Amino acid sequence: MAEGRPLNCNLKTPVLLSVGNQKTEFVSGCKIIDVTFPNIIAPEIGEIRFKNYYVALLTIKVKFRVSSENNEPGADVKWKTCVRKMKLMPNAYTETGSQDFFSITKKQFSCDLINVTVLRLILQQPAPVWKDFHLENLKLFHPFEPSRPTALPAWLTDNTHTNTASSKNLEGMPSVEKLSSLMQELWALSEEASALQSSKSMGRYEVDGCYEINLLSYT
Amino acid sequence: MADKRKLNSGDDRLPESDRQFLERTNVGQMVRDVLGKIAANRPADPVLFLAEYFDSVEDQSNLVSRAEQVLCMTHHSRPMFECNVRMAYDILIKHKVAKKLYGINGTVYNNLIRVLCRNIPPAVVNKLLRKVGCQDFEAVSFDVFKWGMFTCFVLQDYVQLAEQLFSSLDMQKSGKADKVLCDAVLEQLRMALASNRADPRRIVESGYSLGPEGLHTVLDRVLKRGSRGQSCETSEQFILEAVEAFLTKVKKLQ
Repeated sequence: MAEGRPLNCNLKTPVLLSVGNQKTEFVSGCKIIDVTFPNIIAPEIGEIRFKNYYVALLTIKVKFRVSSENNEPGADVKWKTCVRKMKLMPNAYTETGSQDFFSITKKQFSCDLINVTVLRLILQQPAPVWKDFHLENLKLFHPFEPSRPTALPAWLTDNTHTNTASSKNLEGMPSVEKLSSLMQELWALSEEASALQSSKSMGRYEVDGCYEINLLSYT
Repeated sequence: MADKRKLNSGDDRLPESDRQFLERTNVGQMVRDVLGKIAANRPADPVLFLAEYFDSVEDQSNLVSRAEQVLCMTHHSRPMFECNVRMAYDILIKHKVAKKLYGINGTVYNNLIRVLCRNIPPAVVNKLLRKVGCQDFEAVSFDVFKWGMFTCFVLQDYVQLAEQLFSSLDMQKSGKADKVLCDAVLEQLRMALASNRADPRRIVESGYSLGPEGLHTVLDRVLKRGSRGQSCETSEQFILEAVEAFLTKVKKLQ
């Protein structure tokens, strides 16, 4: 399961492909949703989640950002197919899978989705028996890194030296025990001082000895 | 003179009783006062407390020294300290700022801090004042006053402890300690002081690094590096650096 918030992306409204002119009504059974990433520098997609609504087959194509060295104008940017005709409904004419929740993860992608500029979802529904088909709650997530078990701090696992009292006193050094207790007291005092502070204010306006002129003008 | 005349006139009539004598000379009230104060403050050395009390009871003219006396009556960790701070504040409030204008301004407040901290190095006091000091013209509210006094007293304890720490680092008692050693100790201290009470893990870590075990590891490392004995650090430098770490925890007065 991916953690965190979904990626901030732009989902365009689904476009229904039609064949011929608009007067002849012919439902192609194919819709396209484009996803762009306007505010992300290097979008990386690890998971796509949605709730199906009578989509039988899903194909995902991606366009990648061209790396800067061969970024010539008019450079041929190809679409890559990331997921090819994935069956969301085993049978397009029956209900099975028609309203299921799906999560497509890295395992199902044929390529890594890094530096993506556009993601195109092609929805297909060959069966004309359903009135409409679309995806609900479409959300994209960053790849989920399995949280490494937080490493134990070194001092917990450290058993290089023994606990014998003799080892605690280094040659030519003051007693470590004494130093330690003094330093702990110092620490405690500093905590005491910082604990007392609350929002006592003198109502000063200056910052580092200077006045902010805008602040003054309103008072 | 007035007392004398009374005495004479008293002689004419009935002989004065003990109680009357005590009341007339005001000694009874004074002793009652000091007993109350001693009970409330529970000083470590009551006799010294008495001596100091009567020593300064004559000198009631200087507000700052009176306030100082009240503040020094008990340790800042005792509940009575707060009452004493209030009393000191009430004493200082009689300070005359201008014609018909009384109260505590920054001048008195800073002055009091300087008087209280007369035993710690001036460089340290200057650093403290930069944090808790007030401008001369500013009016000091009780909250600020209380906070300032408290910080001031805690700092005094802190400096005392830092001195002890230095003297235990100063193995030869030459007034100078090994710089490498001091730096190592100060670094540990700084790290511990930088920990925030909101971050429990850092607190545990700091606790460990200041514990005998952790300190041993650090000092051992320093020893093995073998660069000891090249330069020295004086007590003042050491304390100043320790105080700097302390003052990072004190919020600047805004």
